[in-house]
Amino acid sequence: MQNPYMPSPVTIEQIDIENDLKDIKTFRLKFEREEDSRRFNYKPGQFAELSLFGFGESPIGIASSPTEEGYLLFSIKKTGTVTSELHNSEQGRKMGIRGPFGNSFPWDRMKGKNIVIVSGGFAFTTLRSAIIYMMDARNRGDYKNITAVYGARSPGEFLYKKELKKWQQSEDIDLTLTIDRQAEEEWDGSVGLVPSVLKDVSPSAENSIALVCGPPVMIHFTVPVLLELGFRKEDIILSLENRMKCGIGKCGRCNIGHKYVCVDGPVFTFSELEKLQTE
Amino acid sequence: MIEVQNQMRILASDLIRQKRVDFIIGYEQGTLAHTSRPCIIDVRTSGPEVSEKLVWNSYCSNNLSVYLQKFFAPPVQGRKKDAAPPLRIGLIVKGCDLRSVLNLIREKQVPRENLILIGLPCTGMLDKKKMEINKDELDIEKNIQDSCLECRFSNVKGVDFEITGKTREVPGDLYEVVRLFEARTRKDRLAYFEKEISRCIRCNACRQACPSCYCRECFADQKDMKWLGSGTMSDTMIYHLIRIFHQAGRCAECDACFRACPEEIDLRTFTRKLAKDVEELFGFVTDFNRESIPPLSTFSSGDSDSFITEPEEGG
Amino acid sequence: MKTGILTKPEIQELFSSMITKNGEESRIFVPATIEGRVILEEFSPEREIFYDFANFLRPPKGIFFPQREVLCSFEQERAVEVPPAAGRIIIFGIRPCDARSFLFLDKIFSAGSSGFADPYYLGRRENSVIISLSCIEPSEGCFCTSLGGGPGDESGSDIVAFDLGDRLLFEAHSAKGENFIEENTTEFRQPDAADQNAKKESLQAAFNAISRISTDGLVEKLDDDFSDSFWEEITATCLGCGVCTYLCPTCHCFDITDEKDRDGTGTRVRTWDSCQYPLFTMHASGHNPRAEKKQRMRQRIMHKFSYTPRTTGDVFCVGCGRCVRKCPVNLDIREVIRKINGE
Repeated sequence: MQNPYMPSPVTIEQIDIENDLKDIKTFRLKFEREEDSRRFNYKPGQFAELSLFGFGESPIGIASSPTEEGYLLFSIKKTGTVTSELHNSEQGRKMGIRGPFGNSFPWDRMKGKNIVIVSGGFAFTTLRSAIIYMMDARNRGDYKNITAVYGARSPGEFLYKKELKKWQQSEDIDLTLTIDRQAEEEWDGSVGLVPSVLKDVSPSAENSIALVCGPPVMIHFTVPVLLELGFRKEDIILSLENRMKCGIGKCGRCNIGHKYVCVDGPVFTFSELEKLQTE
Repeated sequence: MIEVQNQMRILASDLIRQKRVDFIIGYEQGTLAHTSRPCIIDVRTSGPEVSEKLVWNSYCSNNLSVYLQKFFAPPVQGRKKDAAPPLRIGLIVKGCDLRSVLNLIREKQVPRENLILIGLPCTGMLDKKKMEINKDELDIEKNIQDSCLECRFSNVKGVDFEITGKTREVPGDLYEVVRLFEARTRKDRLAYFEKEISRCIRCNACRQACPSCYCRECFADQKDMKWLGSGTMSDTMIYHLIRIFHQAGRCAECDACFRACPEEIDLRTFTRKLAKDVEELFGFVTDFNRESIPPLSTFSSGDSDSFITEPEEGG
Repeated sequence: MKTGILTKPEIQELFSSMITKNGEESRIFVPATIEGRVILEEFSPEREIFYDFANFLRPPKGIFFPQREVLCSFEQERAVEVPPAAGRIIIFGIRPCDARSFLFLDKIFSAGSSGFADPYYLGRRENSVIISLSCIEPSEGCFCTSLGGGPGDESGSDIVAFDLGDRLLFEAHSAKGENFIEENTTEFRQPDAADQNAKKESLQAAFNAISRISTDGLVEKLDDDFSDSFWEEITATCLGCGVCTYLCPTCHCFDITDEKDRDGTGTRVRTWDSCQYPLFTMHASGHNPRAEKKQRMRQRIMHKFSYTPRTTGDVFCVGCGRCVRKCPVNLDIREVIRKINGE
């Protein structure tokens, strides 16, 4: 019996500071054992439990795409015990990983569709995974137009700046970056909150699916915009977070109604969530 | 007792009619035999007849002051301050409840002016466990809770309304249980502590039932600075030691912790020992004096420090 | 159905002989009294089995799902698996309500519910024999018959034993139970009509003493989103301790934490946790989806009477009554259900 509580050993290969506040870093992890790497089959939208022994575990969305072979990326904000310790870590540190856990974005349903990506702040991580995956030459043909609106407080708070620059120049994706209010720094993107910028971009709901990840308040104001644009409730895809421990639907804390975020989610459609009694 | 109950109901309905309180905290009939339980009545939404719900009998052992603090706790961070005027609470108190209330007032957790204290005469509460063991025993004294047997405060003082009646006589030996405990060797005492604590399942009932355990964040729950592990014997001992020591000079000896413990761990011997030490070393008793300053909140050059200078030899 | 009779001294002998048998070690748990408390204790030949009790203070879940257990250890930043203790486990003398709880826990810890099997729980559970003891004198607060159980209910038991005074009647209700009686067939005597009559009488008396609630249509009733004030009223006097969940035979929520020694070695441990604690759901950011007592009590009731019926098909309550008897403020789950029923 495979023990789902046993972490596989990984090494931190690289650490990149993502933002000006320096509270988000991206960790590049490499499996120590080839068989663990092979077993770790994931799809964008899933998460893993990262372990620092003596500190505990933390569930983190996977930021890399399965098309990026040989390593995993996790962008981690310094918040609790484990993430703070991770931020204190240096390259070469050994740690553990369990997963992949949870469902993913609905990749089967997304084939042949226009994809609209809406994100704010730090929640962009698994959407990076989704975009890299779709933009991969082997997959790009499976999806029609990709439109993305990504907002941050200020220019320095965007994640994955190199990739954003590349995507802005790409024909394969229509990316709009927006900051909350006019910055002192030079900024040639949009200014305004994500929901209103999304309204301006006004992506067609025709044959489209929207992936939305962001802070609760952004989601709260974004969903009505999408509905107004004509998106059906089941075509609005949200990714949730809750406190988790086991990641495998046993420990009992991450539920929303009768669904566990760790196994039934973290990805839900808006129509599913609407039915669950929210707390 | 039925007479006290009647008077209490009349008083409560008067207070409701005169709109002098927003809530009344008292006891109601429980769902099990020999059980009364706390009830919190929002009298803003009910008429004076609701006072008929209140009971007074030998099973009213819960310390009701445990509910007070949350009415006056400052709002949780991030929430707008409630603009409504502070609530007025009518509280039924026995001697022990009253001493807990005074402790909360001393520690500035509860404003005296928002309380209407209704003091009842207490003849001691019955211990359900003892009643089960002494099945056919009609002698009430045999079934009285241990804490009540050592109580010298059954006659309340300084309340807003006092219903008088028979109370308990002050016992000759206030610390019999502690004295027996103290007579044992140090090794024996530790063994007893370990034996009792070994049954702890860390359900926090002792802490939650205690009116004095109101810290917004208990040291046992702190995560950023993690003081306690998950439940090895030493973790559990630390949990209880700190809980018990935090009660020094504050404990009203109501035994709420002991009654709440599902494992029937003898918590009272240890808190009683602290009460005795505080009385002997600092001359302080958690009595009905609202103005007194508990030893943990003050300092004087004459304070006993023998526990540093003359630690007890290993026995 | 295989049946057999043993006198109480014979049971004592049988278990004594089974601690080590044919090279196999068994841990046997039996009712015992220690300082007036009735507990489920590991059997040794000197330990006298105790029969005169209503139920144990603690539920038996801890045998398969201990309050604290090590999941793995670590040294030099590497995890080392700590397998669960091997060997057969025989549990004798738990009440049918508690035996029934194992069926529910099995669903949680097996792969069925989420695709992941829990090797720690299953490692012990799969190698266990459950011999429950029918109820003679139910306690105040018992309500098993309202939830599909009963004083002689066999669900979850490999064998149900009926206390007939000086002797016990054993009835096998699973292949494991049949094997158990088969293996020890020389010890057992066949029951006669008098034995069967005695069994019937004791069951009827117990049955009559058990309180009842109605759970008809409860899942649907709970769908009607009860107002906040309903849950607030229910939990007004709740102290927020974990007694109801820790003493519940079906509550299975847990925490996982790391404990480290100075030299960097340590263990990852799993401990019972409770939905009644605010920390249970608090995010690292400080946000808490169930910050208030009424939300946490709602979770407890919904989890048992609405969520698990949807996900596993079972109400996660066996009516053992521990939470009813041990709640420090007599917050009675039967009363909550009655209120939801509109009674």
